[in-house]
Amino acid sequence: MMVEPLQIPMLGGRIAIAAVALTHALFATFIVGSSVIGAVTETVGYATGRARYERLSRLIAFLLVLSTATVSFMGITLVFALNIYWPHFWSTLFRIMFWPLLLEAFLFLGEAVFAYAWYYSWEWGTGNRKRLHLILGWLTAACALIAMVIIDSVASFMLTPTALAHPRDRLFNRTMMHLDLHRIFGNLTWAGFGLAGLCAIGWLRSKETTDRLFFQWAGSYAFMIGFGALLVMPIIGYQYLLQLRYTQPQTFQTLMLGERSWLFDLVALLFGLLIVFASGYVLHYVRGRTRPADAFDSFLPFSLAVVILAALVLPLPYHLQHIPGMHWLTDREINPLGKMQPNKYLALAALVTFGAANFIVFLRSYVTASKSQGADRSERAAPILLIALAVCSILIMLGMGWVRETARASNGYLIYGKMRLSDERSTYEAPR
Amino acid sequence: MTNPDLQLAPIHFPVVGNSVIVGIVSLLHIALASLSVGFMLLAPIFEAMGRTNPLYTALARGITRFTLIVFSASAVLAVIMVELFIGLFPVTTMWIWNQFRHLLYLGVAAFFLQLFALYPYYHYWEAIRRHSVRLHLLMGIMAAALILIWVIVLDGMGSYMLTPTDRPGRWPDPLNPTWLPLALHRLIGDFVIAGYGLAGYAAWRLGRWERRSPETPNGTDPSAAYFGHVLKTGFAVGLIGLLLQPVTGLLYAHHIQRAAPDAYANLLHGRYQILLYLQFTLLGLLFIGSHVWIKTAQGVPRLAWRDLPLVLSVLLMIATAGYPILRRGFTFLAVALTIWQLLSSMEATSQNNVAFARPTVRRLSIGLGVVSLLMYLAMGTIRETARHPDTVQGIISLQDEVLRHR
Repeated sequence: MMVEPLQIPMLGGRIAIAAVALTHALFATFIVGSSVIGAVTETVGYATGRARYERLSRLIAFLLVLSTATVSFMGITLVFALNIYWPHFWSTLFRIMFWPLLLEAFLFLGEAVFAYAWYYSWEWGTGNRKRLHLILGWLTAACALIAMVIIDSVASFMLTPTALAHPRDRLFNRTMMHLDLHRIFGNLTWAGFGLAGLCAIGWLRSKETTDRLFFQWAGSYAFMIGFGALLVMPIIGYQYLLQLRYTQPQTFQTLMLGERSWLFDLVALLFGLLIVFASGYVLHYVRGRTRPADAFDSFLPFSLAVVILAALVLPLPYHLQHIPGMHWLTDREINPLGKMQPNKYLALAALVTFGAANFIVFLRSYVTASKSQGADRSERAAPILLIALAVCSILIMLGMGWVRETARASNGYLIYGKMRLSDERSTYEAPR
Repeated sequence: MTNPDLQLAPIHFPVVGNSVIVGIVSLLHIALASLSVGFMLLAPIFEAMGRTNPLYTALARGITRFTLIVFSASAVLAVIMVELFIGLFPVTTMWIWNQFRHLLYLGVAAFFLQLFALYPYYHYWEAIRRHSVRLHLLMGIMAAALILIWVIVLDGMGSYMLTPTDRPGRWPDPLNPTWLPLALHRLIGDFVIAGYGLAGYAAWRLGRWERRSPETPNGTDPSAAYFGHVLKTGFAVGLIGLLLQPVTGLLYAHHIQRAAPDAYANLLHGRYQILLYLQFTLLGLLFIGSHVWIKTAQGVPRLAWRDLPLVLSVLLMIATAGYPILRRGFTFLAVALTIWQLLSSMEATSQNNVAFARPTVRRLSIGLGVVSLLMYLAMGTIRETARHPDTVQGIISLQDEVLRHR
């Protein structure tokens, strides 16, 4: 049975799939990260008896309910889009990954059921009921996390496919673990900064002092998780790329030095911005809370300056002409400052090292501030920095997803080395 | 062409087989989705009625809460169902979605917009109503209208698989002969299941309440009054739907008979004929159960000789399920007898307290809720089995799904 050709350019289908998949992934990754943060937060609140943890975890549960509804809708739309625009690819991949995908869908069902039960049973009370409520939160997180691991297996299979002889090989392909680790920390970064951004909006909009104090604290708490996870990302990302270099060298070349290297530079720019904004927030946070003058008062501005400099160097392109439209500005082919060795390595090392130092200073100040109720601060820079972090984390999540997908597509593959974009041509044009 | 490295044998779902697993997941999804759609359609109606009786406003909010709670679970069950379609019946799925892609764009857009109406409708209920009750009501109506578009698009696909057309072009495909009859039949079915389901839930809550606080007389407690009201309203909605269903069913059956006589014959006399008898048995139980419900609520629990015509007409309806003309006659006789009973007892059941909600009424309400759900699921199964062994009547068969991989 032949399907009727769509009679549209393949680019239309690619854009539709990309738009739906990226939106779906954005919400799905937020769910994974925030469900873990929510479960931890409620547990901490239960153990310490502090009401603000309870309030924050309830807010996270509400966001989970909204995100789960959105992601369910986006999931249906993505499946529809894949079946309409890439039917041959989708039915082939689905046949290969049938059981993992089915299990993933059931885990997502579990996530939806537990997340809704978690939120709508918040008033259950104390004692055993409260403990059961905590379990609901952890079950939500567990389902979301395991579903992510499975879906990453499918995504990594598309980039580094294995022989189909045994289902285990399809799941545990060469880049599966690297992608999973990268995603876990990426999700915590995005969810942490995303929640911090939302709390910052609450902070700016609050009219009551109690609310403002809560959102100030919640913003810094979520920031701590986001920033901590962000600092681990380059280490995992480096290992991921190293694995890719040996498993799929053509892809590595495309991303690092080839025609899509500008996309990787874009991700580097966003990473640098995240460290800069995070360091700026740390400076504001520490200065606003540590009095009298602290030994770190002079270190933080210096550290921020180093981080800014490194963030400027890291995204510099090497092959200038790979940037779309660059030929309008210059004929130069190479930018020597954009060399990986030593410039970018040094820049990356500076970002991670000084970023980590800033994080330690922040933690020290956070622990001290947590012991008190905190003072109401009416400044605008700190919440705006948190919102900027949330926006950058959205962009970097989208950018990283785009980078991985384009690594295959720019070499003409839907499943690397096995199925080409051209195999889907009959979906778009009638055979001549 | 697919790379030989990527070719695998067709998937066979262990133990139950491909068709049954798709059926099970589909029915689970349909059970939740039909209740949700029914509730979404009823919520703005109840809210509008709440202007004269606040209990209706509370009911509108309660059923919207249910819709939201099951929304994601129902949507994910739909994803699982679709994934099973793709994995187990790739040829049919690929083809049918390709045919319906333009309508799917419309359906997905409607579904997306519906989220923006439904979620604020519930989560900002008081805030929006404080600002403007009309605006809030409008949001409920929008959510209901948008979900109806989505349901009608899906009905287009479902009906097309049974009665496909070969008209060329972008839009005519869904306009197959059974599309609108199915949409109408489903719509009324949603009201039946939502109404009886609501009554069953309220009965269960009343029973629980009575066990916990036996000293409080019925009707004086606000929550008892509320659930009594829900029980009565739910039963009325379910019963009105039940009385309309034979008309829409007749319309649907008539169009199937005309457009796909083979499938119709298969339905009446094929290997799944037992399902037809099951469906009419369930329908009969709904008629008799509703009849007894009304009598018990009036305080006349025993069956008398004058109840015999209804019991006989129901039994004959079941016995003649395979003979459409006779069956239809007995079905409409049952409808007429129920309407007559309803009209003569209208005054007695409109009392504004919960004294009518005796244990028998409560048990009957729960039973009717379960039976209405089973009947809804049986009806869906019958439609799917009517075209067996084709997946799209006369176009794609189960055999095509296997041959693709040879």
